[in-house]
Amino acid sequence: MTENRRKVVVTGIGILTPWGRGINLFWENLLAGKPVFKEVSVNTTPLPSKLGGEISEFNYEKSNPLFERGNKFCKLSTIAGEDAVKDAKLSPSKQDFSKIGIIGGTALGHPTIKQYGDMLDPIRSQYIYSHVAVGLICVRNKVKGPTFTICSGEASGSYAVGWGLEFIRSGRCNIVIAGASDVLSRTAYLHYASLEELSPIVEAEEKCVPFDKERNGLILSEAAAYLILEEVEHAKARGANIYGEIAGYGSSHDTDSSLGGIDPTGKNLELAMEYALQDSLLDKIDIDAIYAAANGSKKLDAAEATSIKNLFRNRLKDVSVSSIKSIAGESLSAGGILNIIAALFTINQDLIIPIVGFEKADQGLDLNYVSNSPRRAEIKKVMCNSVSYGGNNVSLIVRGI
Amino acid sequence: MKRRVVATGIGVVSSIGNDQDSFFSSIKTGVSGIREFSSEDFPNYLCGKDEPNQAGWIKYFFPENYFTKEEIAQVDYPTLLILKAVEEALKDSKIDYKKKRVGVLLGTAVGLRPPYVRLNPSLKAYSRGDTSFLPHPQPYQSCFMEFLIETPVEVIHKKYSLQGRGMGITGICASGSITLCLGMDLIKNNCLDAVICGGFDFFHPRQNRLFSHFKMLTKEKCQPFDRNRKGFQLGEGVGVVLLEELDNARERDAFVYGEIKGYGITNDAFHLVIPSPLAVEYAQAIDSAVKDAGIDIDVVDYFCPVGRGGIDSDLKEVCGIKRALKDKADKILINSIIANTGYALGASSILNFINTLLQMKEGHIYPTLNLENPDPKFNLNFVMDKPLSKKINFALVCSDGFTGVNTALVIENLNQTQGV
Repeated sequence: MTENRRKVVVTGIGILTPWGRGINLFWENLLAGKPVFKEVSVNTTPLPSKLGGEISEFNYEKSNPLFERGNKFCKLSTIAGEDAVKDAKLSPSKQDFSKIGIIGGTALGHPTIKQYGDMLDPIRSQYIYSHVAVGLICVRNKVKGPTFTICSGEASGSYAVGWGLEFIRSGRCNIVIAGASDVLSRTAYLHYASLEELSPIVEAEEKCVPFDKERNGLILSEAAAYLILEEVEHAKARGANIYGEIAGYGSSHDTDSSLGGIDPTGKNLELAMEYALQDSLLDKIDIDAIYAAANGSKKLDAAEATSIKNLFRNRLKDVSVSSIKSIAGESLSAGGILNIIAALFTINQDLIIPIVGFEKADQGLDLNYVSNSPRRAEIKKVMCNSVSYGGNNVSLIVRGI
Repeated sequence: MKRRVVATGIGVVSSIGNDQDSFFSSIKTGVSGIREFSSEDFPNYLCGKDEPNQAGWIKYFFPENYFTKEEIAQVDYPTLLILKAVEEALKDSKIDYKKKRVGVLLGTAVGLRPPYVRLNPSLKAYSRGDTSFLPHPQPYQSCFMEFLIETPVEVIHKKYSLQGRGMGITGICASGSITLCLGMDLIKNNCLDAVICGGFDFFHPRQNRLFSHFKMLTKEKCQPFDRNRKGFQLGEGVGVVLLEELDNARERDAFVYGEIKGYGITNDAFHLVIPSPLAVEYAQAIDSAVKDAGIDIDVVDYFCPVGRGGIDSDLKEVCGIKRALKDKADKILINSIIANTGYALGASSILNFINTLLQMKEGHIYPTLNLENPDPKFNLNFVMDKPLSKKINFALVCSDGFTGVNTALVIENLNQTQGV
């Protein structure tokens, strides 16, 4: 059954990051290793955290009022989603748009407190729901397949890709537009500060260095990223540009972590990675690199390093471990999609993005980290992890075509 | 071997009853949960002059009857309502959730909105940037967890130590039925043994003002499919259905309410708020659900639409039904419970589903409340005046809503002995 199941490839990418619009900007800046963080315009007082990756201005074609009236969250998602559609060269005259679905994801959506104000304004109130971002892409591009939005914290983006995979494999869709977006807000800063995850947790320099011994929390960033997932034969038949294959995914849920917390043993993340390997019919030996979910958080990074260590055991030195979050920041739900995009480029160019500022790992958690400058190596299969505070673990495996 | 998905547990909290029995007996006797609200019920809220001050909100839910003091202190009020429904569904199905792979899918249109009483002190502290500003009792680590759709999912996971995955989902008004569709896929693909599928949405007076601005609400009674229909009232509620694999259910000798045979989800791609008048996609959702189920559309005896009582939305649904069922459309039996419960957004589709399952179990179809003179243009077989005794073999449950999402589910009655 698994041998003749449908293969899923990525044929389009739309991305909007603090660096700007487009995949090349994203990849070049990742390679250059210049962190995206600047002082943000969001009011963060009295928190010590001032940095973030903010999309301060974004260029977009002047459009109809439906789009213009939307809030930032809707606009970012729509731009990224439509860029992906354009990148894949989909058009209603050539494809059956009732076989195209959209699965969105978001952790916080439109900032909670603003929602209460927006509810009283008839125009703005149409845009406060998390699903409207997907709805806008539907209405503007006449996409008529299944649509829904996943709200599972930081793992939402990866879940969206996972569901897309299942929708295509089961034949419900030929194409799925899967992605996620999240915006910066005072809500987000206060939320992560109360979870004691925002850098600096204690009085120290504000920085984001995943897996480093001196790490002191995450730095938030905003991004919107959408992928076009397509059945491989369908893509070949229409001569689409294929970036790579999503080989499989696995997910698990923590049973014993506290609300908003991380399971310190990493057992469930290990399980998710194992499921992903099973799902993609691969073995541990096949994985060349891992883009981790680690974002500089004390608990999450240690848990993830432990789970990778327990899973790969004697093969640890062959698996390069890295996280793009020292450069791109914690983009919440979009982070999972950014990992996949980075993995696609990594496979294509045989370069692994490093952890900038990395010096020394935790005791006993010395993995094969890629530190400070891009590593050149032959990469065929990359594992991308996503972990949400609260206990969703998702692992995806990306493979070259 | 093909895995089959059945519903074995039901849990409800609604404006017309806080459990399955009282919910269904209110539908049987034609009780409406739509009642007036005032600024006493929702402090700090002044109702606009032209704004209908009626809604199907849950007035009589007392957490003390269901939970211990410790539990009440740990969880916020809306999540308690969800927990109550989940508990009822699990008990109803008698599933051993510790031994099976059980997951949770919760759907909602709006998400959690803490009541003003709780929100007010939080907002003040929020403006100060206080990160330890939770009002007492203090359930979570961060105040914003009271807003996240993910939070009730996590709470359920922690309470029952479930092993399967948990996800919050939103598809606006169709959220509840989307969780059922996805839950069915998860069980069919052997990812899980059982899924707790739920839809919820809570009434918020600001939501009322918003809907009233769009002229969707009415001060008069809600009359679905009636010639004089003017609009609807908002409602709130939680509906939870436990889906599981058929063999598991048979092994345990559990009562099977019905089998989900297939589903279809489509999108209008027409307008954010206005439903597509031709309802082509609505019909397409029904078509693909029927195709997915592998049945002939003629065998469907009962159809459960949303039936809000909105002027355009009822028209769209009727158009869709006629388009999908063609000349069989006037034979199929139709009713709606929105006049009882109020339009509960994300929960409405799952409450409809529950209503269908319960009618299936009883072998009766109950009349639509307040439906007096069906719109002559519609010309469909609406159940009116008195209950109809009828064995439902196959039922279609459809929903549609904001942003144009349409869903359709086909349910088969597996109990041969019931009905007439």
